[in-house]
Amino acid sequence: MTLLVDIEKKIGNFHLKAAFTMDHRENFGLLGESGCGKSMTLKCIAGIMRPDKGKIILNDRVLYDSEKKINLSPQKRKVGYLFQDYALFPNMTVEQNIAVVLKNKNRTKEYLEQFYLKGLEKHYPSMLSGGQRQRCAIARMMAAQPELLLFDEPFSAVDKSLRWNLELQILDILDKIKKPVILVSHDRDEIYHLCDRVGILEWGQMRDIGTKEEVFSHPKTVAAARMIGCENILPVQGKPYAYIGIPAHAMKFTSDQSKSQIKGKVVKILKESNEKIVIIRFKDQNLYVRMGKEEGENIQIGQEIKIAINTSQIWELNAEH
Amino acid sequence: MDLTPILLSLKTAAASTFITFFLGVYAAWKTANIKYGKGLLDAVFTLPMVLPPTVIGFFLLVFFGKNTWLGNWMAENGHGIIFTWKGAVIAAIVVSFPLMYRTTRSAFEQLNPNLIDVGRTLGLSRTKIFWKIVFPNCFPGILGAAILTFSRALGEFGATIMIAGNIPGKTQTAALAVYTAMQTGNRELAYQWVAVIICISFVAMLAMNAVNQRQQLLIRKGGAK
Repeated sequence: MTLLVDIEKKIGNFHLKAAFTMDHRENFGLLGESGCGKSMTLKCIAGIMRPDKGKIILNDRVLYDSEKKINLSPQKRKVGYLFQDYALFPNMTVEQNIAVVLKNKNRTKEYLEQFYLKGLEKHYPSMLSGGQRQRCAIARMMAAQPELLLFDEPFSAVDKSLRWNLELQILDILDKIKKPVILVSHDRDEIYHLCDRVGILEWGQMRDIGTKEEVFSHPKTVAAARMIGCENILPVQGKPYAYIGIPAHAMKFTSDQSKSQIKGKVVKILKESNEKIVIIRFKDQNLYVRMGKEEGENIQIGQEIKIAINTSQIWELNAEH
Repeated sequence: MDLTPILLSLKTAAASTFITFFLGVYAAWKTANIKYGKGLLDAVFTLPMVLPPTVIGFFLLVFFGKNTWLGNWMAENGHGIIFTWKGAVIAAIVVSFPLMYRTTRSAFEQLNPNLIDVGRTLGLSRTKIFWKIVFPNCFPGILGAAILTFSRALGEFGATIMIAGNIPGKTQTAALAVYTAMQTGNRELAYQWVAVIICISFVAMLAMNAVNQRQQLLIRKGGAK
């Protein structure tokens, strides 16, 4: 399985430039804030949107090539698209949703079984739970025999408390169907759970690309650091890099005299369910320090505290790659 | 009371609605899917709704009159439509078409566009997408459009009197019968026709509201954007 995407599209002052490749069956994640062009990239690959220029090649089939004036219709691309709202046909039952795609209607049963939809054959989409809808949409997508699957924010329509379970289920399904997947999301945990490789997209531009371990433990751009949840991004001068990033959990409240420690005044304490974030003022910058619930219990606002930094987790960042 | 005018009205409205239904749905689907010239096409299709019916009648008379090739040919082959029931049907079609077209188009526009896009990625042809997805999910809206069209055709007066005339038993519909009754001072008869027309139109509007509610229900079930 190979996929080459190298496309550009301009809409108003938004300029999308997406380029990446996949060379074996894997789950590739595109991580970025909403409006950064993730969905647009998927729509261009599926053929629902047309790029201005570039090329898209899937398994030696040219899906799109602006120079050769090739632009296959979505019907001919063999690319499955899982919409955010799953886009099940509301006038059809689960069974009919799948059967409408199949030439041989007798195979409907196979798909119902494979995607745990038995017993729901006669249900309409409005009667299904979020997870059931998602499975139905994937079953229908698989019935069209795609070579590549595109998942557009697959869990955004599901309650956060249920997501974790659904992610496990999707992992199980993805293992079973063995198809390459591009998953788009603004949720780093979702991407980390489900993907092997990650690309960071910022306002239409590709930033870091690599295995999820690389990108999540050694981000190289500000956008990547921000997307993986780095709380402290500070400008620096006179260095080959323009910023440093320090995740809040790389800093510890300390009382001993280790080398890399800084002193700052506590400005605010933000309590979360299992942790707390202490905001301290250091050299005109706010630093976010993550602590366990019980850690530093006596810290008060206005107090000066010492913070030790795990230097292996200081990232050197640039705006662009 | 001679029932011929109301029977003629119903017959005219039914025939014209049947034709307008297909024309309107086709026009709505085509304009919803074109990239350029949408506004212009929409204006042309909507024009009959805002033009005075007399202007439409005038155009129809000119178009189907003996001075055009088409009108001449039709008259010579015994298909002339001026002062015939067919003329009344054509007048009703032209006047009610914008209602069918616009209402259907708004039903199409309310449909979740992802349903069409997902159909394309699933390899379904345009025809299949229309008949299996778009049409059923917009059906209550389209039915509502047809009822509105039928009601409008039933009430058509201006263009009809110009092209089909007001010939009792031939082209005199209920709407024209009211006019004639008033002209001849037969108030009682006018009242009767008015009552009949109001009843039919009222029932039609109730029916339209009922199907509109069904459309809203469908939309809530996931058919909308």
